[in-house]
Amino acid sequence: MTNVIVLFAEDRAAQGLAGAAEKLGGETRAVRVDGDYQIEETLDALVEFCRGSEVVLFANDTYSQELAPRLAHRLGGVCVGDGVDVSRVDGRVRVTRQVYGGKAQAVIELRRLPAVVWLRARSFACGAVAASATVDGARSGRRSTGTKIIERHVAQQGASRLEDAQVIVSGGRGIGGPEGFREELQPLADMLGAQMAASRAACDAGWVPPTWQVGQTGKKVAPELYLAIAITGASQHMAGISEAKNIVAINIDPEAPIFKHARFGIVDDYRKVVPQLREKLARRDS
Amino acid sequence: MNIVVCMKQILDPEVPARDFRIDAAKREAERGSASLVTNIFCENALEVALQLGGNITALSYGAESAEDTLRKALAMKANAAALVVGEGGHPLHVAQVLAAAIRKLGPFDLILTGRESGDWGAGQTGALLAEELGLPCVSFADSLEGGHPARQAGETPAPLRIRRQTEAGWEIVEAQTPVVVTITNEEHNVPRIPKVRDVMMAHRQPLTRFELADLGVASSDYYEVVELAIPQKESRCELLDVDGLAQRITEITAAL
Repeated sequence: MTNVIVLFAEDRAAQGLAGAAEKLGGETRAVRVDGDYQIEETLDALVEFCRGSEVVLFANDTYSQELAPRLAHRLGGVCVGDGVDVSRVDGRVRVTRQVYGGKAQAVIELRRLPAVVWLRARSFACGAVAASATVDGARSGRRSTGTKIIERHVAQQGASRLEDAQVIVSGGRGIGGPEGFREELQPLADMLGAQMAASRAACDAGWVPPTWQVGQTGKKVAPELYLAIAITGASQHMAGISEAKNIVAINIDPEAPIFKHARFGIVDDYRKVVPQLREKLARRDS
Repeated sequence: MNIVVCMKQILDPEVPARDFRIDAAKREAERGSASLVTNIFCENALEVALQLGGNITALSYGAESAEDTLRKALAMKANAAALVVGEGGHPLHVAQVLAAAIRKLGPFDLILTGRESGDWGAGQTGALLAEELGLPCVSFADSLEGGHPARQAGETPAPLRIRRQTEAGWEIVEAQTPVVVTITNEEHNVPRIPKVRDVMMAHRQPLTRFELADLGVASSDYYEVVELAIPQKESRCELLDVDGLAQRITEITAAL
């Protein structure tokens, strides 16, 4: 059994993917995509590199998500995404993932090889990665591939990815507007060295950038501490934070589903709680 | 520009967890009292198509009830609609069925899908559809502009300018048509609400209908759902005052 781990410029996922590969057994090699990423070019290069392998593991970044199904198709294999666990039963790869917006969990058995799987890398114990080969993500043997990424913009707050954050301060519909994020949540995040995030409702309203969205269709995060502020906790949001170690809920509604998932909570208006919390934390710091 | 928007009807994802049941034998959600709705990203995709402009066909593969999804698409001002009646299934099968229908209905310059569905959420249909059609694919787009085919011999077709979301921000992709694009949500592509008059008109519009047998798609084993369960993990929340919470937060962050 040969496994391939595919990594993009950010390789903090590498150890988690290596851990998943160890669970599946067999020899594993890693390949890093170098150069300025282009979609069709990178796909062509990975098809060549992964030919003959039985398992291909990707992390949960957008490039991995867009390439994994197509790579599987070209190699005659099968793809499953968003895995939180993997196993091998009678030689076949099985992947555990959430479905129905996090309301249920499915185990899916892949019936063709290669099994191409993208994973929430932080859900796995760290493994060791072998020395990596590289492929060029910008060049192709073909004259024209039909698409070209011509501009790349970075809108993120800090240098680190939300997926790698240890502390996250997140706001929902109940924040009420961009001011609440700016004036109440951001100073709290700064004090805690936290990254900012939001529910889909807050992103769709345009209060904060879409890159902040956490949930089934946003980022899947796994911090040590997740402060869910004025977030109801719909299953679609919970699907993005199921791997968070400690969830703290601040919500005015005692019936909000978020309290079923939180370890600690305060039932009150965030506008009252958050300034007090900052004050208490500042006092502890000094 | 000829545009096809692939649209899926799903069990309402907003159904609360307490009302959600699964059929363990069929390894599917039970319908129960939940309503059927159009997958939101498919509506975002139709909205993107409407904003771009062109001759728009809405295409769905699913049960007879998926006609509702197509009627709503027509009410939102799609120009035509087509339904492939069938059971659905794993993403490769769906992509093969959609590709076969698109070959019959086309040619199209632009093929749009939602980024993923709110039920199984495999997030593969658009990518696999591109492979089945032998076209390039741009994923996680939230808006499109430009792009028209050559209107006369010798004219160079204008590329589409596609804005798409990435981890860190966004990218602009230039694409020659035909191309498959998967659509994600953004504040500017929130689906429009159809007018009452258009909803009524939509019921009188023709609908192209295919049976699965018309399309000649063989079913294949690809993957199998071997388990489906509702995870039981309700933790007890400890309610605190601000002092208590500050202390807990300090303890957790001190250990990092």
